[in-house]
Amino acid sequence: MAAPETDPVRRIGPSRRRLRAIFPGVVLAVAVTYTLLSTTLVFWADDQPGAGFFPLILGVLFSAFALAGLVKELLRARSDQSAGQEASGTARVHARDCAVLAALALGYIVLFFTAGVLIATILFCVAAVMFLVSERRIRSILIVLPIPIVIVFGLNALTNGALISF
Amino acid sequence: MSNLLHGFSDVLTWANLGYLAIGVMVGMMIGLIPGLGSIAGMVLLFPLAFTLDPLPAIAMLAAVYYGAMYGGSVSAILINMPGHDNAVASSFDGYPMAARGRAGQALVIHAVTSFLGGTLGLVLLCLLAPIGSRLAGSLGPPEFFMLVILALALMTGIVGDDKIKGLLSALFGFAIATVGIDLVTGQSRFTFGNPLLLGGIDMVPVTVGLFAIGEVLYSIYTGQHRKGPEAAAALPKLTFRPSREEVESSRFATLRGTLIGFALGAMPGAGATVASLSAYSIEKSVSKRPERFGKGAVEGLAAPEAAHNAATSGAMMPLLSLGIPGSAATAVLLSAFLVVGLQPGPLLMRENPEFAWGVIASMYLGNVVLLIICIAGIPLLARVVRVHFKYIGPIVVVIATVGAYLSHTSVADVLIMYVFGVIGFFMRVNGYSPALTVIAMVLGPLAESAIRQSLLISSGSLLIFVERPFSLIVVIVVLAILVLQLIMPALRRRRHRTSDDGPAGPAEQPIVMSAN
Repeated sequence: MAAPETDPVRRIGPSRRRLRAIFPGVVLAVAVTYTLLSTTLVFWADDQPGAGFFPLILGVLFSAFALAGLVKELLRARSDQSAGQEASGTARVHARDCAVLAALALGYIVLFFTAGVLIATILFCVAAVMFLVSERRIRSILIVLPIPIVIVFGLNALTNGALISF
Repeated sequence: MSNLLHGFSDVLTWANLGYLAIGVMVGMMIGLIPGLGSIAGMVLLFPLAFTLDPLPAIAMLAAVYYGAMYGGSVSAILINMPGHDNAVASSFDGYPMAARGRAGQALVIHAVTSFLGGTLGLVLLCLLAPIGSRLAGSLGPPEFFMLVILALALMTGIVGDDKIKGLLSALFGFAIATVGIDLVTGQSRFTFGNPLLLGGIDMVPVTVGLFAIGEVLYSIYTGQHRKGPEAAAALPKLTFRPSREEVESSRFATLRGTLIGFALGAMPGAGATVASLSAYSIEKSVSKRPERFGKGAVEGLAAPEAAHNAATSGAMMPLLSLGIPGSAATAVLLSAFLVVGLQPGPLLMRENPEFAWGVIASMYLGNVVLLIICIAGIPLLARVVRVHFKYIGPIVVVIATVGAYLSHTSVADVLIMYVFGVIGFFMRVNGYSPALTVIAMVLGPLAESAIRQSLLISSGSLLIFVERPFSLIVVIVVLAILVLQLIMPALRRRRHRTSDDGPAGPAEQPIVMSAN
């Protein structure tokens, strides 16, 4: 029903489809690295499986399936090239929004451990709502802000002040 | 029966009921928060529990355990964010039901099937405890390893058409589980010299990252935050009474889910997550219209709900009768037993029957309390689905961060959570399954220790997996499942081709989703 709107894989165009092979490529790189690291561990010693026994079996399977996945994705990307349209502007806007929220979350972690949970939570919620909500922002902040603050104080009380120290 | 009645008489005091209510409420609330599962809830109540007598203390902690099962499913259904991995399967069809304006019905079905699953599981616990504990005690490493393979074989049925991506998701989870010190040889693995990784990568930050942060990023990527208020307003008026068809559809699914959940819950290591995913997978495979699954099929919600609540009852069987924890949560419960001065095992049932049966009786009462809370709270809970994503998103990020931090009060856990949040986002975008990664992380250590012990026993011979009767049966079942998975798509294609030539049968009729 709403697949074209909600499924980014369907929404992207041929040039972006080729980019889809990047993720299976990363998976293959992770799998091969894992396998190579497994070979440095003891596979079998003293008539019993060593620390590297299970990881090496896993690594070989992981690499084999990752390679199969990459080949399958490349073949799929090639067959899709003749059909479909270029990426819509909406998809790019959403990707940018996603990146901005990830950056805000990163800032939240930094503040979490430098300025404290309470200040970090307030600043993050205000910034996130200002970014995500386009109208009646003050009202939206007033709606959103009390909930995480109550949760933070509640959990702080339950954990005997593990979050906030006065 | 007299033992159980005696247990009821012990637990039915105002003080005990009060502590039971505290446990149930804390479990329910903790379950609602993604990442803070039953273990965190039990740990939070430890200081209170250790000031109490054994019966109210254990009854309260057990109530957190099964109360979290109820709560975790509520967030899975309403905002597609399972409170814990046990509730992952409930989101597959629960969330599509809620998204189509049937949140009220989904929550009623969740409450009733959870209650039935939990209560019928307790009946089975009372009836089968002696027999089941004898069977569970006879299982060795080869059987455990084959049970893990069986669980994985069943789970490949839930990952959709791309089995390679499903397998890769699971292998990734297994790989994460191997990080840290090898407990047999003491050799460190994949730690890169970082002492923070010596203890392995904890489940809580990974689960919270993959499901909470990954979900928020994915929702923004798919433009949920840009949908105007008309999208929320378009939801029809909430109704809570399931249709007669939905009740009939969920009847046998609940029964099957209960039996599967109890059986898998009683097997140490399998647990509620495997139970709910297996129940979902089996329900889909026995359905005459499996194409409805993932789109709001009521059986797809009823079966895992009944299963993971029955699994909590099943998990109490090896704990009470053998002293073996069936899951991480029951392991925490076992440590609470020891702290209050009781040793779970065969002697517990013999020497402290009033305590053991009191705990079982308290679970009956706890399920009734949870049913009442769930039904009474539906109008409030169902409104969560109407809250716009741009308000929920920041709140989820805050709760996930605080939850990950509180699991061990560790900065590293928060960082790990965000790393896995990004991984989860890319997995979702590229069609991989974060759920299978989490499940494989749970099963990984069990699988590794089981295969290593098996090969140690057999001096390296793989024949050990077919030489033992129970293990051989599981091997045959696994092979049958794999063969079925290979031939079923071909059979379906053939059936579709046949139906294209003639009039459409019931299986090919278009699915009309109710707006209510």
